[in-house]
Amino acid sequence: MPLLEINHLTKYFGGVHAVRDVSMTVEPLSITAIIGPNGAGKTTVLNLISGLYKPTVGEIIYDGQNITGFPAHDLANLKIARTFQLAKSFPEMNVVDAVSVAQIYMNRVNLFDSIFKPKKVEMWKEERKENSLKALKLVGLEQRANEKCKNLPHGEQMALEMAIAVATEAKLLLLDEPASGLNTVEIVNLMETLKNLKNQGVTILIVEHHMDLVMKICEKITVLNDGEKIAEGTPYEIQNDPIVIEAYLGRDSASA
Amino acid sequence: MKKNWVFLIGIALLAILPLAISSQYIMHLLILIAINVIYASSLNLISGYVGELSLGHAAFAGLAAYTTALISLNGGSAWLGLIAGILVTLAVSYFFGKIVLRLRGAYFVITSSAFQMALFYLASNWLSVTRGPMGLLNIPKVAIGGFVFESKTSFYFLSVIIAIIVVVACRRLVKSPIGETWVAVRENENLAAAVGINRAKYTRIAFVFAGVFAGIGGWLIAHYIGVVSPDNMSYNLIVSMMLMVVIGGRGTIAGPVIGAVLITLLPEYLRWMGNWRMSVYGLILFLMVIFLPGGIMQLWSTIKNKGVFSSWVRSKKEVN
Repeated sequence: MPLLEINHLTKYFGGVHAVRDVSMTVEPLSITAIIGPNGAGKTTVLNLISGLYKPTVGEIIYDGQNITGFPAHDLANLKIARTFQLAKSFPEMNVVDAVSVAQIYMNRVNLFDSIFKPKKVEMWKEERKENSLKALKLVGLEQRANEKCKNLPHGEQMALEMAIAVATEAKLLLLDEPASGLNTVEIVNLMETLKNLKNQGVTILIVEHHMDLVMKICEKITVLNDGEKIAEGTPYEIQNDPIVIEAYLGRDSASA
Repeated sequence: MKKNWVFLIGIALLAILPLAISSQYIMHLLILIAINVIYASSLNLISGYVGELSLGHAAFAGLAAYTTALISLNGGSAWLGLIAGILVTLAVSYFFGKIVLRLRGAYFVITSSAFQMALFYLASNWLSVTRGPMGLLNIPKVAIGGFVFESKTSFYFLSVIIAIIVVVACRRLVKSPIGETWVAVRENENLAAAVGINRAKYTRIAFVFAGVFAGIGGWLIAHYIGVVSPDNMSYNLIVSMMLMVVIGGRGTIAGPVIGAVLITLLPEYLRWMGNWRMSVYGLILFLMVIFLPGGIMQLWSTIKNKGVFSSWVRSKKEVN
């Protein structure tokens, strides 16, 4: 049974379709990619799954449960986390605090404790801090733990965003262009991180432009163009699919 | 540990302060400062931590002031008035928060401002209950057993103790995971939602606490001055609350306290200027907002982090 199943997902903004009748599945413990030219609707699909938008038509099934239209903040409880393309995290917070915010939803301290049991609050904070340092270590940011988020350069911002998602202890990670703006070394590190996560039992759905990364680490690729699915398959199949080549490079090069 | 010492010494100073002061006028200012600390600290929960500009805040102070005035003028005790004031502000801030917290930015400002205006004009025009602009007069003093908080010194202790409780409660809330969610929502709403933070649920907690604390401030001022009129929830009151938060430093615990002291004392200190007073006051605030947008606390953190102090410490370390 797939971990995530999308059926006939459609989203209109006003009269304009952003996504039309897209169906796909994500198998457990796999890395699946959504690719496509700019404006193909990749991020919209991710926003629909993560509850930022509600679909016009279609349903989203996660782990056997219909989660269509669930608000974004309910998904952490179902062990779904995501990253954002414009990673800005929580600018004024310290890196380690920003990551430990990701564990608050586990709700170990209620309102009463917050006011009358500062010791309990402190203990849980320490615990969350330890977990956060582990997540930071995974993405190679442990040295930056005490800096302000806004002071990190772009590459580290992207890694921080990943650490925040990982710290929720999600089973399904939705990554929105995690490689955008990264240099070659950072991309190699990112691939390493993604493989590690997969080995730790995390399923990953990734929206990405960076073909090298997608082809190297993904088992399955879905290609979108103009809001519709035009192809699906293994990296090898996708690379040799004339429809995909046409969508990316235009008609002439496909026939040539 | 060090913080605890600072806190205890501060309390000791506040406790012996009345011994050193003989002037009734200065005692009066100290009481106003304590009440303004309550107002500013509570407003700071919304405008500093959650990050929305709430222009409806004075309405909660006014609501509780009218509630306790009506109760104690009709034979109830001031303490009953306090409990009723807390319940009223709690209920109103809960339901109003539910509506207004769906909005952001300018829409939040407009709606909260409309809320304040509605209550202000209700208080001004509902003559049979509030006596309108004439106000409710001769509100009884607060009393415990046979002891009446009549003198300025006794009321000083009452208001300072309550102000300390409010500031400590704000501090604990802010340091708790609930306070972390407020900052997270302020800093990046979408990411906060993605890590499972329900904005509506947590920001409403801030709104209710802020409303109730403002109400407690309104209760104090009603029994201190002995008069409640629409001025207790006027636009001027909101502006001065907001100034305290901004001048002191939004999103910090010490900021609104410092702001309350400054904004209460500055116009008094400028009295010798006569007619120029309010213009100069305005100019000073104007310059402060331009050059210190983060308030006095920004100045403090600059000095602490990169400025004079740390380089001085570093040079000391190098010498050793």
